Amino acid sequence: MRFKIAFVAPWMVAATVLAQTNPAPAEVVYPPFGASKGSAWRVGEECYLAESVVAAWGWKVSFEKNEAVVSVESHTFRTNFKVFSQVRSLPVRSLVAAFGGETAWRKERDTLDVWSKLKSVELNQGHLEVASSLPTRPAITYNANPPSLVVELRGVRMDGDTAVALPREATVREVEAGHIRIVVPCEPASAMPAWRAGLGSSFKLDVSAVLAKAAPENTTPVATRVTTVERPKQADPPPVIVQTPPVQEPPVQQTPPVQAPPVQQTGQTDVEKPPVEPEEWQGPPKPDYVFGSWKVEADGARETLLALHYRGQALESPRVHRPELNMVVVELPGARLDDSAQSMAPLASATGRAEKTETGLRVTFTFPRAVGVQFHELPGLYRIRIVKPDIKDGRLAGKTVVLDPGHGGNDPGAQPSTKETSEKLLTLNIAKKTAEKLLAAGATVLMTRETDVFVPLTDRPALANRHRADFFVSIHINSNARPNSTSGTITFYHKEDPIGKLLAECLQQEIVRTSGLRGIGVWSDQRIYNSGFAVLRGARVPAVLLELGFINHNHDRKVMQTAEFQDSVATSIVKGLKVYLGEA
Amino acid sequence: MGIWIATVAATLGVTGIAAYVQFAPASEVPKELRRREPEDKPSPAQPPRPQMQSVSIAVPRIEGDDVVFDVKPLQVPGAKDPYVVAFQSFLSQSNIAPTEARLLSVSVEDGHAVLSFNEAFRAGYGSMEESMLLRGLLRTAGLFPEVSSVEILVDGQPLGSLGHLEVPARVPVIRESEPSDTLPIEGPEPP
Repeated sequence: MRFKIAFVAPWMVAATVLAQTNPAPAEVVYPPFGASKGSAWRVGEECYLAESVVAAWGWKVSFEKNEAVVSVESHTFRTNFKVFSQVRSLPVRSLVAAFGGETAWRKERDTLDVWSKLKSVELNQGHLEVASSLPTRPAITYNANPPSLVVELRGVRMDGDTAVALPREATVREVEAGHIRIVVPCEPASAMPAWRAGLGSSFKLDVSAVLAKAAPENTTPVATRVTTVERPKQADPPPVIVQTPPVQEPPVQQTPPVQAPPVQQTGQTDVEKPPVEPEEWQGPPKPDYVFGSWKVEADGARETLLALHYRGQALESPRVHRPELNMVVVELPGARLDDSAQSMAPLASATGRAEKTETGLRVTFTFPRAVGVQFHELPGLYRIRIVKPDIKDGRLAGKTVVLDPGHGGNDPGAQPSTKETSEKLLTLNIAKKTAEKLLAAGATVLMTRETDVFVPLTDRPALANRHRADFFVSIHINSNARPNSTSGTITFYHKEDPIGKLLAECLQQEIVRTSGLRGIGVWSDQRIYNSGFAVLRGARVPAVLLELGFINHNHDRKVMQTAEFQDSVATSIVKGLKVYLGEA
Repeated sequence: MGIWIATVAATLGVTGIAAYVQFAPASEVPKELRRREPEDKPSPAQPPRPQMQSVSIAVPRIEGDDVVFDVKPLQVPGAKDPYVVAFQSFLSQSNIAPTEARLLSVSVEDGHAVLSFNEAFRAGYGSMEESMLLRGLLRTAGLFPEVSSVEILVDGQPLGSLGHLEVPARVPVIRESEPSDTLPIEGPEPP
């Protein structure tokens, strides 16, 4: 027995020491951002997480000598860091605890769960205010039946220290571990109010316009009550979220004839306003919806922020469209131009124009080249984010393009029932033709495969990332298991990436113009999968995925097998890249 | 002569060993050397299957350019397992996976369903087919209130991918009431 102990004990000690000092690959799961596979290492009870992942959580990280300085909004901590696989990594358990969150290792795996903590929920003078210890992403919806504002917070826990100040009708519950649901009863609304909240530790929603009037506490602050929450084992059924109810028809408006010339604004600060037309309104009082002016909030090389200020109430949401990829047109139905508007700030590299239309007002911005656009509705203003891609010298020659023919090897991709062709063969043919044309245009081309071989999904965008390519274009052929039901081309971009969307718009426009196939549209890949396509998710360069046609549609399949189609797609990709770069 | 003596000696030896094995008390045989009787095997806990006369499945349908799902009720014949009936019916009625694809087993424990398919399930799919197949399985699973997550195995191995996305080991089901009709797979955003 003594011999056994003498033999075994040193090994146990050594193994324990090794486990405490040797990093093991780990996974960190923080629900608002998913799992950080491949970026975390377990060392004893601590977990070191790559700085890029921490930064993606909204934490600010800087390094001073041998220390990392980590800030979450107003809180800053200094800590040690380690380097694994040449990646600076931070002790996430210590940091989360310092910022007031919680962590726990799962029993059977090296997986660390991270939760933020709900600090307070208050309804005060018509504003719902929520604060948590770590930045999170609230999901805000309007539940039509019964009418209520529903805020979902994932990756957040609450306990006896959570301060809750809500009227009785409103509730806040941890419906399952790490999933908080706040429900505030509302009056029925004809349209969902413009509630938005991005990544952050706190947010404030103005609910005064829709708060249920039955609740007397709505208008006055209520005493803070602290609740102790039992963490339920099973999730509550989610509330029934329905689509926004149809917008009520606005009262019929006798639109005066449009006589005034459009207001042109090209750098001058004063705006020539059309003469005010006398209005002959005979019906019930018309809601006032007045567009005042636009303001340039930021105007840099990569981004321009425009704020369109209005007062009054819009009965219809504004409509944004882009007749050309260098234009942004905002239609404001029912709006009129403010009589007292004196100025609209000039734009450094664009023209702005406001004009009356038959239904209201139209605001148009024109840029010298294609731009990405994001539109946000906020109380009293519409914010337009113009994203201008980094085009360097604006020429395709000299750029690096990674072409990714989908599937290959034992993965044939989509196949028709006739088996006359397959996705992997068509994509490779089209990619080779595209490569030839790109090379002729002076671009450098890298292909994820040049033969019929299987390439793992993660390796494909990694090639683009490794070579710091300028573009990643993944080529696919679609199929939907219902022969001849759908025909046409879709170009996908990742999630809400405005640069990817712009690139997708440029390529889709050219493919539809020349290929002869119907254009279905430019889609976010979240329309197919919440996490998006693996190759787009992994790309760190402007990236798109083309679904050129449906292989299970007789017309599409016949067209896609022709050399003319494949040539036209190759030409379109080259032209689309040039449009993106402002070269065409 | 020598051969005979050797043969007799060998026979006696074998007989003796056989007699020892047969008649020696089991307690004298070291535990680790004892033959494992069937009753010694730990029997895996089999959670009771729900008694259901009918189940529902989510069958995909093309509407415009998009995919929608219709909930279709089915009778569960006699002693059939309701989970197997549901997922096998989805497989055959969705017409996405090849006809050779088979559901091998379904196990549900603590709200986690493990669906095991044969190798033919891993066929070539277009991205919309892949989405229809996975969303259909998750929506069908979501029609069982007691099931909250799904794991898909092919030939005993985690599915991983069908060509366009990475499917994690544990995917939350999609409930019928959920407004989002996309897969609730939230993979990591690579650094």
